[in-house]
Amino acid sequence: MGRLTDFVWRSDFFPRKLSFTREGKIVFVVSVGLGIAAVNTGNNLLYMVFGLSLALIVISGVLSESNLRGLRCSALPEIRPVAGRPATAALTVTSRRPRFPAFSIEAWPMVEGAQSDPARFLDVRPGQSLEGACRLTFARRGVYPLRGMVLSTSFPFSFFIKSLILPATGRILVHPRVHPLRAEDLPPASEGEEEHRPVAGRGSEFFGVREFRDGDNPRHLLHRRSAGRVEPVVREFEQAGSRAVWIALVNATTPGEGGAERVERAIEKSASLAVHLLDAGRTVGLATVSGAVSPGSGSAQGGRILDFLATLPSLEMNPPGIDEPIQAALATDSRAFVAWVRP
Amino acid sequence: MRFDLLHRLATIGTILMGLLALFLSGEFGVAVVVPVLAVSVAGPFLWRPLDRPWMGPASGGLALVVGIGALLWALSTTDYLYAAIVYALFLSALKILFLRRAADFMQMYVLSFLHLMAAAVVNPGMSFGVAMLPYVILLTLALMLTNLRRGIEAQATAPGGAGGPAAEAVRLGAALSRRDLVRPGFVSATVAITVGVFLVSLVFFFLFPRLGLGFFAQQSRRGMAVSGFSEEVKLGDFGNIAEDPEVVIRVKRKTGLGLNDRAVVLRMRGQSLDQYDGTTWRKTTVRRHQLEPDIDGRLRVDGRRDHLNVPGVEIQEIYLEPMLGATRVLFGMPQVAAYERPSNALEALRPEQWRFHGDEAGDVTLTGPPSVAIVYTAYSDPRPVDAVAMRAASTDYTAQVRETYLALPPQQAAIQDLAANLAKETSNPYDTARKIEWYLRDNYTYSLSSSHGDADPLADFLLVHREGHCEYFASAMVVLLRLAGVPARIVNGFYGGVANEFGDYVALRRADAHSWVEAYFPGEGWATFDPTPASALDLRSGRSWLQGVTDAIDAARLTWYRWVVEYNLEKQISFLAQVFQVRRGGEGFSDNLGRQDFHEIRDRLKELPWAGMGLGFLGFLAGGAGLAIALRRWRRRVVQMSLLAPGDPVLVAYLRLRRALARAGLRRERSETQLEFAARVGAACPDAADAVTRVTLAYVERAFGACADGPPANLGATVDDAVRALAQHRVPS
Amino acid sequence: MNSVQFKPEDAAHLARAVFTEVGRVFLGKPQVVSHAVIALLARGHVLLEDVPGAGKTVLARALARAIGGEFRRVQFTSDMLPSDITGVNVWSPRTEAFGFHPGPIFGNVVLADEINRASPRTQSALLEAMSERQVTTDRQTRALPEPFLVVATQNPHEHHGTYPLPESQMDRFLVRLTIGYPDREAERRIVAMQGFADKVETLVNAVATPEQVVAAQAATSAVVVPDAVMDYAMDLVGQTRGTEALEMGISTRGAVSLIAACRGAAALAGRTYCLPDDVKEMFLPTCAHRVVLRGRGTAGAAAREEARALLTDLLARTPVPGD
Repeated sequence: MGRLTDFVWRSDFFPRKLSFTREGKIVFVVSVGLGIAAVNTGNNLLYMVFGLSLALIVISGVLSESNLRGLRCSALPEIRPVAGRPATAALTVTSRRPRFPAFSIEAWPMVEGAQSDPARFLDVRPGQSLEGACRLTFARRGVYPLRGMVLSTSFPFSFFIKSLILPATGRILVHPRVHPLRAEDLPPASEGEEEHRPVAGRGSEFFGVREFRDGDNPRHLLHRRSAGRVEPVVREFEQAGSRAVWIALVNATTPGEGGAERVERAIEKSASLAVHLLDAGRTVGLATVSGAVSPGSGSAQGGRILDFLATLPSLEMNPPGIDEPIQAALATDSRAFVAWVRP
Repeated sequence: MRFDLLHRLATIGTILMGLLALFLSGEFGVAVVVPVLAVSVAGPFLWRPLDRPWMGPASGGLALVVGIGALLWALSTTDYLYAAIVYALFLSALKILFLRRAADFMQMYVLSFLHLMAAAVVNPGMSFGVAMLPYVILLTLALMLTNLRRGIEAQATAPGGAGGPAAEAVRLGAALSRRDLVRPGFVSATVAITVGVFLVSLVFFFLFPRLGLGFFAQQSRRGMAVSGFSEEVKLGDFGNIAEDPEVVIRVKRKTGLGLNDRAVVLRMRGQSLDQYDGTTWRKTTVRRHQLEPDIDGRLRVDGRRDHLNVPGVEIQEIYLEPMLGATRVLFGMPQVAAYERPSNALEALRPEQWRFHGDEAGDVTLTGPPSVAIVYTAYSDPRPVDAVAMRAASTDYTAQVRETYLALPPQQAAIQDLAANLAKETSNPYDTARKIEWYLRDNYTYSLSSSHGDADPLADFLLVHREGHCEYFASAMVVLLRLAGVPARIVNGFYGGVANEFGDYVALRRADAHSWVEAYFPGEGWATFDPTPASALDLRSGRSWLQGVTDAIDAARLTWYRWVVEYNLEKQISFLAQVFQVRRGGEGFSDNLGRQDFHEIRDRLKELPWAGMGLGFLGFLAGGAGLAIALRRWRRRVVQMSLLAPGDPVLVAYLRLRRALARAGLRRERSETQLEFAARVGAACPDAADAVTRVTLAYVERAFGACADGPPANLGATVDDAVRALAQHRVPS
Repeated sequence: MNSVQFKPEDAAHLARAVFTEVGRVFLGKPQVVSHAVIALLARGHVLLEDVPGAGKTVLARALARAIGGEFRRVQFTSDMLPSDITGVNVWSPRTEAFGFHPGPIFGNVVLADEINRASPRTQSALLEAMSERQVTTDRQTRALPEPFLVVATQNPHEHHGTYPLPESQMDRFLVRLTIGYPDREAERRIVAMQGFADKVETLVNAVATPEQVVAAQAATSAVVVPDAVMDYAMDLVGQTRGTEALEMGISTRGAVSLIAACRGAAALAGRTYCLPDDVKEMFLPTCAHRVVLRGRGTAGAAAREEARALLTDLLARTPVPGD
């Protein structure tokens, strides 16, 4: 017995949810009224109309059930939405039924705290796989667990909306909002040439000479100077603007009115800054009270920073010394520019 | 076809069928019917020009104003139902001008459904059924198309689409004009669903218990006016209805002659009239007594005739259409020995509803709710009169008989002479009666068109025109008999009939109304004489080539009335009995259930004083409440489950564990946390402790921690361990 | 680099170590110790209600020692002034300026003994410092050291010449604990150990630094409270407000404290999220002193037991979320 129920549970029995549409409620109320009228008058023709309304409701219930049978929805693809902006995800609905098409199908991922606009399919024929797009909008950054995939239908009469909740797991990492930056938001160091100090790198201008390390280009070996030394010597070139920029984000504030919001805005500002600087080809690191991301450049670094910011706790406490972890992280790179972002 | 066009056509069809059901009742004048129909046909195509922002409030205001007007009108005329229906018609005519989105269509169908409800109240005729069948088909189609439209709308107006509302409208318009939306799959689904809806409707109709009696009268329909069966009949009245083909009585003969011969002629005796004042027949024998059923439930009419012992007793089941007036004359083939009304569960609840009365003349009337068809059985003695006994009967009439059946207004000498001449040649009253009968048959002509003077129409018929219809013949014979000293009276009833090959019954129409004569012979009773020329009557019930069609319609109408309009608890039980082959109903109109069955039902119902209304209503409410509770439960269950994705492997494992625990008699208390429960289980069943704790930990981590990584490895095996350990374990409860 | 310090797991390690160390001298009452550690993690304060000699001092001293912090003790008396606690500015002839002499409140763990003996004015000075975590003298504000934990004691059986804490002030303590008598075996060991009572510092190792405790507190505040658990806690809190037997239910501050304590309990258990179990565990210690019984008040041992019974009953009647 237990095995049988387990089998049924695993194979095709998924929880269902039934809700009335507005029209469905009206039809239900009218039916109840009709029933009362028929019972109290004994008018057989009222019984007949009552029978019709009940039949519509019953058929509606049976068909909405069978209309979802044998349908499957693909897993939610990897998406990295930004808070407040709709993200589109492609979903594939497949009919495993041997016959009978399914009509009026909607599919969307069940994510708490997200607004979803489902992918819609007018009909799915037997054996057919159709791709549609659903849109998810998240108000806030963070991790959102995926609770399942929902298939729903209002077929055949739009009296009920029946939903089937297919199991699915995963999580959606929502990045903080990224705003266009105003000039005063940018750290002066990223523009001011006067603060420019030469930094060794892979640029073109000669910078100096140092010992060869793994990963250096052998073409830059200085053979003459290397002669007579244990370690070979290579030329070093200056890399334009290659000094790292550290974004020092204090994700903590004194408890009180709007404290969390202030931290949120600071996080958004840090994200915007990071994206802006990385787009400009800079090397960017991030130090916060709750950890740091070591400097890097390119879009992969952008992903790392945004991922980190997505789950960064917003602390409502401000004891002295809370920024010590930031100082510690900054201390590892004394030559870097530091852009402080405070709530 | 373009989707939009198809949808609008289906909508028009649905609305028209609802309106048809309503208008075929004939209750609505042209002033209502024509504009409503016109708007309903054209309206669905007018939404585009009418789609203005100010139209919504304007139409709302108009609806309100007209609503107040309708209310005032209803208050002044006190015809609330009519006012409500007309207002519903107005609302639908207004709404149909604004069919823009799927929701508008749905509202339109709700209004159309209200029309159908109204029609159910005002139109009990077969036309309701004729309109409802296509209504079901079209409504199903229209609802499904609306569902499709809803999907198209959602797709075209999904957020994130380019452009503003204008672009959205263009996209929607283009999507709705597509021709490929209605695929063969959709068509066959529609057909299948229509059939399903129809069948389920029928099942609900026949199976929904007809227990409630409620506050109002049961199903009724308009009774027809049939003159000649009141207590006062003016000579010449029959002529007016002579050509009316509407069926009044349907007779099914259980014994006696077979119905192989189509041209069966039946004589159905109704009521006798005794007093004649020269222009009008009146009934003076009106002292009535209630007839009490005998032990078999039969009402004996003629104490001298024992219907059970009559050889070849003629048993007729009679279906009598509703007629105007609460007191109705019962008809039966002469000489009726007893009547029987099928005992009825409804009647058992309201025994005072139907009452049988016999009067001094031996006529039987039934008092009961008007406008309801009645079904009853008549037992008649079919034996021809015993001429020898009649001739030998004495002429020693009682004073009462003399006073009632020999009284006459003064007659012209010529008529007195005629009576004397006819009586002179015979030796006994019986022969005199036969002589007069044949004299009238042979020497006078049957005519429906002849007119007679108002002063003394009978003298006019006998002496001047020598032609007329049955009333004149019968009246003349009674007058002649009375002049000759033979007590006689006029009898009204039906004579003729058309065998209906579809329904296996004989139908008597209003045109078959007839008058004849009964003469009294002391010791022998009343004998029937019919002075109207028989050939003329036979001609009247001739068959035309259309008869087949008429028969079919009449049979369908009878089925409609019997199985739909007059469907009741009794028929329901009998129907169920037939379905489950417990007991077959008879072939007659009354669907004979065994009398014992009904006594039993009646006794049971009698124990519950307000059973009818109460049971039905309470059952209905309880059903609704149960449904609501079940829905709510279901919803709550879903909400509770949503802590975790349903079907989540960890949840599945935990639920499996919980089922195993439940089998072992261990259930989590509502106020117990999962971990506390696991600890309790561990204490109760140490073998399972480890596995249970591990699965529970995995579950709470998954359910409460936002972590969405995969389930721990070997979770299934751990559950298996726990299940095995628990299988050994039984908690003493 | 790339290290996320202050992980909840680390907080759990730290808290466990502190718990074990304190438990070495404060015997037989692991629950009291764990609640005190939870209060520390949740940046709350502890109110101990018990007869003298139950080991309140040992608890406070051991706690201070285990976190490597400074222990201070204030013995409250009726003639105490607020400045006796907070400290005073004293004229120093040598520097010819006022110098601040910090009061006993400037410590990491402060034992406020027999708080109900002090005048309400002095009490409120302490309570203000507790919640503000700073002291203001002569318009100069000085931050108190972090971490900062006040362990206040109150003898519920003593009434003469005392000023029992009013209800609104009780609210400032995250938890109220009673120690009670230890079991026979534990008491034996306590008695045997008595010679070392003054040398708690020598028996207990410092297993953490104050800085690490601050970090652990930060990690604790980031513990996730799932909606279902939050709803459960709110159900419980809400029900205290509608109960006939209670004149005053749990305040919003009480609800905040309950959730903070749950975070602490979760952190001590090494979890990054709260469970209904945390709510159940912390409900009595955090809430029993916040409700006012109809006609009884909060004071007195009898009232205390009645409030506990009432809230225990509430726990037994409230359904736990999940599955």
